[in-house]
Amino acid sequence: MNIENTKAQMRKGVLEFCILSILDGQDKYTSEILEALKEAKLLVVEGTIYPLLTRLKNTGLLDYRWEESTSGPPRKYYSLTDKGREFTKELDQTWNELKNAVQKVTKK
Amino acid sequence: MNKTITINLAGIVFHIDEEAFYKLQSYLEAVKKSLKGTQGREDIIADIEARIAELFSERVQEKEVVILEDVDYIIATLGQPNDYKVDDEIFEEESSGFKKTVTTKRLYRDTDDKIIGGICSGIGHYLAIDPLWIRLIFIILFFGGVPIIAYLILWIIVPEAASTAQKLEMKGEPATLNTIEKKVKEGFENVKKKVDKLDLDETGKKVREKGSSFFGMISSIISSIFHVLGKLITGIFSIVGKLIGVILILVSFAVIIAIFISFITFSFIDVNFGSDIAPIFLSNAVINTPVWINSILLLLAVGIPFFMLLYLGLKILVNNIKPMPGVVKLSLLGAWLLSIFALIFISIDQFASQSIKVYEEPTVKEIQLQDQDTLYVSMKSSKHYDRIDPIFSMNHISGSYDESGDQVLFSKHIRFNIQTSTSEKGRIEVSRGATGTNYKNALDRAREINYHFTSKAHTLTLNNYFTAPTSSKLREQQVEITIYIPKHTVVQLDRTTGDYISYEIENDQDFYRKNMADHLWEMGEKDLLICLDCME
Repeated sequence: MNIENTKAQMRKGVLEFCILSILDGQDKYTSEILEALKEAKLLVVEGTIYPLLTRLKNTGLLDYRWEESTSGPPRKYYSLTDKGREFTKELDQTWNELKNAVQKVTKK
Repeated sequence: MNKTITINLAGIVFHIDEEAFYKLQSYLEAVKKSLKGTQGREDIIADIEARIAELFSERVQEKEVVILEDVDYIIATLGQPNDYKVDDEIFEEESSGFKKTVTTKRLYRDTDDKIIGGICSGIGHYLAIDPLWIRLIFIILFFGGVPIIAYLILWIIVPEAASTAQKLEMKGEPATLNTIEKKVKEGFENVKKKVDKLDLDETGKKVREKGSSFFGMISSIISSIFHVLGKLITGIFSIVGKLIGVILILVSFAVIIAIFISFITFSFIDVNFGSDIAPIFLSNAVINTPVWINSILLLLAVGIPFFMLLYLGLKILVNNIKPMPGVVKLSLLGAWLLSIFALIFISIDQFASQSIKVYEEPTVKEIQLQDQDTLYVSMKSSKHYDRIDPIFSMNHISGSYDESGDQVLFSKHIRFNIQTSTSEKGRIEVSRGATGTNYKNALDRAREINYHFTSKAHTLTLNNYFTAPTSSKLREQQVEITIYIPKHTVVQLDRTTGDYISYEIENDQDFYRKNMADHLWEMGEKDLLICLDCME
């Protein structure tokens, strides 16, 4: 088993939750989401994010709108839908439980 | 000086260096390919293009032109095509756990590192060996001629690694013996796991769930048995399928090589060096059409089906064989049908060439016999044809060389008959015969037969062989000899005549024809020969 693979999989697993959390409270456009994820070192390359965003949008958790930009192409602003907000809340709870559980197991 | 290309990315215009353009293009294509089957692919691509546009406009503020470096930066930021793939199992509910997406390595031609078509380096990547070794093997085997054909076939059916994704796939996880073994084992384990799991968990659960009704239980057990069987069968089939693929490849390749080599040798030798090899000589002597035409037809008639089998085998085994273009398929089919029709035509022609057998008007020669003279009959053999080994023999006719070394057909199938002459004189009648498509054709052929005998005083010397030119082919050539003698004439059959006496001669001793040699015979009533010196 490859350690890089395992790491990447761990990261990918929480990525969906993180995207939703970043958008919780304020709308952001793609680059901002990427920025936030990169800052938190959750993302190595950007490629992963696009299929995820599309998937979240298609399942009705996210919505987007276009806004003109002064310095480049129009920006795609993502926002949480009501369903997305509820989903995020639930994930948040699960994450906390999981975090505690993992800490318990790993710290003994 | 570099050419620039103008592109439109997400509605923004960029000037891009030609080199950079091609790299970006192949990158985007590779990404598209790796997203194949992903939901909302178009949206994703649009997002990616927008992001690239954004990154470009950040970087291209002063210099105006997008260069290779910028594209490299894009690729580094966005990641390799494979990074776009989302591992569905992680997100999908109830991941089965062993639905592993093994990124399979594929066979491509590596045109970046090519000498001829990039086959060797492609195989090198596939087996994770330095292509040098593959080339070495090819060169060593080259003298056997086999790799040329193999190379050509591979060149046609293995696609070139054109895009980045293909290049990555080409160099991916090495398909060594270990990984192949691993995959086979995985295949087995999948089946096993599924069986175990289904057996223990599902069946149990279902039985418990439906346990309230007896029939429900039965039906659930039956359905799970079928389910398990289904999985087992699919598992076995995939392994058997690969095996069939291997067998198909080996067999059809061997056949193709064999046909090809014999085709090359036969037609090449025939055209360039004459045809001293038995099968060529024989074929030339039997079939009307030249050997090289026949071998081309055979090559097509047998080779094309086996080529298709080879292609099928490769398709089963290697998951990256180009689909055969329709034009190629149609022309192969056309060539095959044509060759079959031509072969049928040749066979009919061949059959027709034996349709009629014609004997010429016999050559008659008087035999000088005084009263009470004994006719002495002996055979004359040829030192040349006695000594020489025939190259082939068929229906009593052999192919060999005449005294000057040219090819010739010869036969020792000579038979003579003795009958009563209606006149007071003796005579010999020799008639040559052969088959042909029509009367004239057969007669012409009969006249091409070369046969000699001498009749001096009361001695008859018959050649024990005849020859015919190879051009007249094997067409049941025959020489019929009848000796007519007046009643009461005595004939001395020489010892040499044993093998050439016709079955039709009747004698009072009921001798088998051979035993009649070396005796004195007198012509009696009704063509019956009466022995004069046989022991009673």
